[in-house]
Amino acid sequence: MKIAKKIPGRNREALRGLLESMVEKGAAESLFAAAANKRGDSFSYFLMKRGSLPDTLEPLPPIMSRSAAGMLTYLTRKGPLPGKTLVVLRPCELRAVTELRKLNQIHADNLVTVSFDCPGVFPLKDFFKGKAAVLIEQHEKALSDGTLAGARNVCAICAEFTGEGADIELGFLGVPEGECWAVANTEAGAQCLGLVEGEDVGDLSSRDEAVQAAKERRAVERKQRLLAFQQEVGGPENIAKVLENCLNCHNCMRVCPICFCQECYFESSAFRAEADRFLARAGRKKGLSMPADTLLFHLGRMSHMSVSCVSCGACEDACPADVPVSLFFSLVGRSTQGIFDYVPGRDVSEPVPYLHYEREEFQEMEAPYLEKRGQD
Amino acid sequence: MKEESKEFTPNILYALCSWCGSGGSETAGAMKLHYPENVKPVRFYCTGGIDPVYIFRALLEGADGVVVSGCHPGDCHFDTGNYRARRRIAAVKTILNTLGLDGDRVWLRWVGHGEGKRFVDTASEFDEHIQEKGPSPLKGIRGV
Repeated sequence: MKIAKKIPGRNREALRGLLESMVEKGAAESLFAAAANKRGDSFSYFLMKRGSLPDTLEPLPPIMSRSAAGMLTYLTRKGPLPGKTLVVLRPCELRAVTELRKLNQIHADNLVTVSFDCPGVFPLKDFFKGKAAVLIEQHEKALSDGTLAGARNVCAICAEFTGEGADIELGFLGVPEGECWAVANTEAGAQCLGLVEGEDVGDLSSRDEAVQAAKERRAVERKQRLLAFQQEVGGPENIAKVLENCLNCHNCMRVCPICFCQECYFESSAFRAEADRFLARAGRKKGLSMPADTLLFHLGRMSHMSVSCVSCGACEDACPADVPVSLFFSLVGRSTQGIFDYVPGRDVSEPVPYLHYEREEFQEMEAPYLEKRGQD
Repeated sequence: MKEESKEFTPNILYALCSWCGSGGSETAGAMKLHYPENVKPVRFYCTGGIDPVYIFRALLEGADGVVVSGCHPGDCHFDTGNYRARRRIAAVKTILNTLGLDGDRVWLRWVGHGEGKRFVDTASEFDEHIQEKGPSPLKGIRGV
């Protein structure tokens, strides 16, 4: 049975209060969520223990400094956290966690996930350049209506912005002013939420309707934006134009939650060669741009991880050269996920396409052979 | 062999697995069959070991097309390598098509150990296919 409770307070305070009271009442021993610095203009994730929660807890920051999924990989790769831990994740981070669990990179035992209706976040650079207080205020307003002006490229076209896969889901859309609804989707979530005081929500339909309408709208916008982007980058010349500013710094790979390899192929000795080999390439290509293999890096990464790309946009936030990396990967991910009928993060029991196969599939990808002639 | 002089001789890479693909080429040799000289065979341990990056790298560094052959479904020496290869090739073609880079320059066709003729036919068919297409636009991309 679904448990749903009304949590008093405006969105930000409601979530903060909910987390604090759940941890204090023993629902979990530790908490993994974002907190602000003392000035309140910078945010990052913190691992916190019961009894020593910081007073700057800020579980809904207006920026995503790094994907929490990548940090959970870091935390739990060698084994699960020892005690129950509440983890606050944006919907895209939650999907990345699901992908990483399938790839055996996150031990999810003892994790209780909390997610929420995410209006999107500001690009890191815009936030750091702008006035923090104003942007935080704008973000606070956006929590209720679901649309954030000035959000990042992928946030603006995100169609999976609710925490429906989490143990506990916090709803802001279609909810009366001044309250939020906490919904437990699983047994683990219900146990935690049961400890918290709050009036039961009888009828969830107003939120369901608001979410459904927003999702449909966003899905159309997403498709249109990605197809327009495809027009922009399609073909060899356009690709070169979009990627020509790329520094080949590999930041996008480092911050990508899905890129979990300990050593990336693109940083391996496969790309070290004697100078005369580079010279030979330079001759063939009428000049070799250095560092070499920028396009290969992006194409290769697309082939390695685009099926699991959750469109979190961490890559673009980390790009020093303003390459629209997140749209690139969202566009290609849409196609590669499409052929496998795969939605990353949908279900932890659904295998990652590269680790699975059917005996009869993709015959259309094989070149048909018609034996047509004898000896020439 | 065709007699007319070709204006464009494509540079073609033929990726073969060690078991059936290469076996097919050996059978072709034993049967004294010929395939175009611009088709360059490369042996992989298994088609399942062909990372998409190898294909992209070939296309960016001068190949006009890449054709992959391995054991027929059900015949893989490692049971499942060819099924995995088929998924990867599907992804490669999809990525190239999505970015307007012509996924049809990559072919996958199974060739069994005894299928020397099928090996030779595939090599020449693919050669003709790429000749019709002309030089790969990918190898001309500059600056990235």
